[in-house]
Amino acid sequence: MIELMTAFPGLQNSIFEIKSPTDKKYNCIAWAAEDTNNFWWPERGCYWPRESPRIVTLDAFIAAFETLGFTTCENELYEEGFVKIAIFVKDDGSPTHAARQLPNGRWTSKCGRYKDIEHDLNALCGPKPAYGNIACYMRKPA
Amino acid sequence: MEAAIVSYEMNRTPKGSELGWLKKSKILSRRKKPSKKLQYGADISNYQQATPRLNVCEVGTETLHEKFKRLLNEWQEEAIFMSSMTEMVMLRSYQAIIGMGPAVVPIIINELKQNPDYLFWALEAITGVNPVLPEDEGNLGRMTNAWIEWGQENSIN
Repeated sequence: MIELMTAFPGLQNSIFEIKSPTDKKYNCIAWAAEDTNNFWWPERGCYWPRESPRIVTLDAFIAAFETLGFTTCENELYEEGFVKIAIFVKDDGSPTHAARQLPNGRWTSKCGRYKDIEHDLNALCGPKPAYGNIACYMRKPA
Repeated sequence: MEAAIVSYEMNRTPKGSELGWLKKSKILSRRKKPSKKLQYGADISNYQQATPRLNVCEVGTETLHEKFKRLLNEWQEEAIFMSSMTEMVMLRSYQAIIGMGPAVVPIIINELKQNPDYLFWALEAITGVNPVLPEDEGNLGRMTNAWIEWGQENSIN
């Protein structure tokens, strides 16, 4: 298997911690949405909020998180009383991943079908199999 | 001709009253295999469609079940960091499972009973049916149960 730090070279020079066992039931988008029962993706065979378009675009992902009360915001900086998420996209602009900010200001991600990790936000950026770049931040009251 | 029939069988939706795809696939599997030797002027569409079926023999004496497990392990490793279902099912190993055809359906159903995983696209691609309720999409447990029940209803053990 590809090692975590090989897939995400940004983890090599940062502090990260594995927080869960591998679980196929949910993915990164579900984890950002705090749902560990469903696999979220705007495609057939996956859960996706009915109010959001089932297409793999940044707008569709923003719309999905809006159904949970998130609104777009300026940056990743921690704000007391808010939960933030970051949406990652690849070069063509299509989403690959989402991470959620923890109350300690660090970020948590479910890496695909793998494990939950606590990490620096930019540590998962990079070319495939890493998740590209961050295209959008959203927040909602905690 | 055989390839054309296989293609037809895979693309149609069986009716509930039929024993359906499984019996027909057994009939198909007994038909004479196409010759590997191409002759001048031959219609190569048969050859092109038959080629993936020849992969059954690609690793010596590997059984169907062994081949499935090998491809499944490859797929699970390759897809480990992916969240996009389309990216996952487009991986070569997953496509190769689909390419194994109707004979792999009982093996997949049995695998779901032991180790549930997102093998539903493969099942739908092979059988042409989807027993999962729209509201259950994305829920691994419920999707697994729907396919296991479908297997029981169609006497697939």
